[in-house]
Amino acid sequence: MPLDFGIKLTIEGYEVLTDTTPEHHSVWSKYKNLKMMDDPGTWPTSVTILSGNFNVDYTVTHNLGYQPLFDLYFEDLDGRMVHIPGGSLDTYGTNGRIVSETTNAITARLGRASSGYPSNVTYSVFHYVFVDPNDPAEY
Amino acid sequence: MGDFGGRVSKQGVNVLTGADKDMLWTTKLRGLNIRAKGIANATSFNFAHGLGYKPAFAGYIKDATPTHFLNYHHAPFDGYQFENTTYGDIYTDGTNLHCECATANKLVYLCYLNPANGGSGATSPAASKDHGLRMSNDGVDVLTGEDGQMLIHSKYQSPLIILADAITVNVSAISADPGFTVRQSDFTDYTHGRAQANHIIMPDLYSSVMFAYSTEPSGLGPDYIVYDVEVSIDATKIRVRVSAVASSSFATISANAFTYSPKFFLTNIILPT
Repeated sequence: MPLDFGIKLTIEGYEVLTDTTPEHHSVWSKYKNLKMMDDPGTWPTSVTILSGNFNVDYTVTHNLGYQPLFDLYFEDLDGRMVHIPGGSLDTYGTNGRIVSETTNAITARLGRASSGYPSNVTYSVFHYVFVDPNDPAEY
Repeated sequence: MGDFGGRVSKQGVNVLTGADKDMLWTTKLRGLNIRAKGIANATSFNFAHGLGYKPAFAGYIKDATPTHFLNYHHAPFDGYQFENTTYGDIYTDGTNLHCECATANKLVYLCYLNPANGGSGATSPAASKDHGLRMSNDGVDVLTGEDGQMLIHSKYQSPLIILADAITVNVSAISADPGFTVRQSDFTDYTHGRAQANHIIMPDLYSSVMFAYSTEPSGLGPDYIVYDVEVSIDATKIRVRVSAVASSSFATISANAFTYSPKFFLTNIILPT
C-alpha cells in the first residue's frame, strides 16, 4: 500500500481509510477549503439609492493585493436575503450586480432599469470575501 | 507573540510561515459548510432550513439532461442560441430558503450553514447528543458554539476546490450594416473529469462586461454590440457560451474577434439532479 500523508474527513457513509473520491470528503488536505476573511470593520453595511437615481455603487475594500473569491448579498426591503448578482422581489425589484474588481476591492451596484427611485431607499449589504485567490495557479 | 490553533498548508508551503491564502485550512478563518441542497419541486417552494437566521446560498437552473446553468436569476440582454431560457429567484429569510420559478423542478439550491450576514447565527439544526468532529474558529467555544460557527463539522460537507483552470472561448468578429441586426454564438467545452455535475464557482462570469442584463439601463445608442455569457455544467463538461448581437441603424458597427477566458473553481459538492 503506498504511503500518503495529510488529513482526511469523509462525509457520513464513506470509508475514510480507502475512499479516494473528493465528493465523499468534507476535509482532505489534498484540496483547499474556502476561507473567509474577517470583516475589518470598514466594509459598508448599508447603501442608499438616492431619490431620482437608478442605482448606487458601493465598494468592499479587502486590500488583499490580489483578486479573491467572494460572495455578496443584500437584504431587500421585506427582509429577504438576496444573492448578488440577483434580483429582489420587493416593491422596487432592486437588482444587484458586480461592476468591477481591482486587486484590493470589489465594486457592486444595486438598482433597477425601469425608473429612478421615488425616494431615498436604503439596503443592508453583506459580504463574504475569501482569502483564496481568483487564480487557478494557486490551487 | 505565539499563536494557537491549527493550520494545514498546501504542498510546498511552509505551514509555520506561509500566508493564510496558501493554507488548505486554518482555524483562524471561517470556512463554508453545506446545510442542505435540493431541487425546488414546486413553482413556489420553501426549504425550512431550521437555522433561525438568514443563511448564505447558491443556485442553478437545471434542465432535463440534466445540465445545470449558473445564471438562474437574470435573463440576458439577447442570449442568442442560449440553451436555457428559464429564470427564477432564490432568497432566504429567518425560516426558509425560498425558490420562485414559473416552472417546477428547475431551480437547484445549495443552502449554506453560514449566515449571509456574517453573524454567529441563532440555532443549530439539531441540538442533541452527537458523535463526530467539530473544530471551531478563533474565539468560539468548540463545545457550545453554534454549528454555523464551526470551521469543520463532520455533520456537514465543506466545499473543497478540486479543480481550477480557465476556459477560453474564441469569440468571432461581428459586423452589422445599417438596417441590419446580426447575431452569433461561440462556445467552448471543458471536460472536467468528474462523474457528475459539481458546484462551480466562477466570479469572472459576473464581474465582466460580458454579462449584460436585460433589465439594466443599456445606454445603447442606435448602433450597438452587446455580448452575453451562458455557463453550464453537466456530467462531463463545463460549457462557456458567448453570444453577441450587433444592431445598426445609421452606421456600420463592427468588433474584432477576441478571446474570453473566465476562470473557474470546481468543488466537490455534487449538484442535485
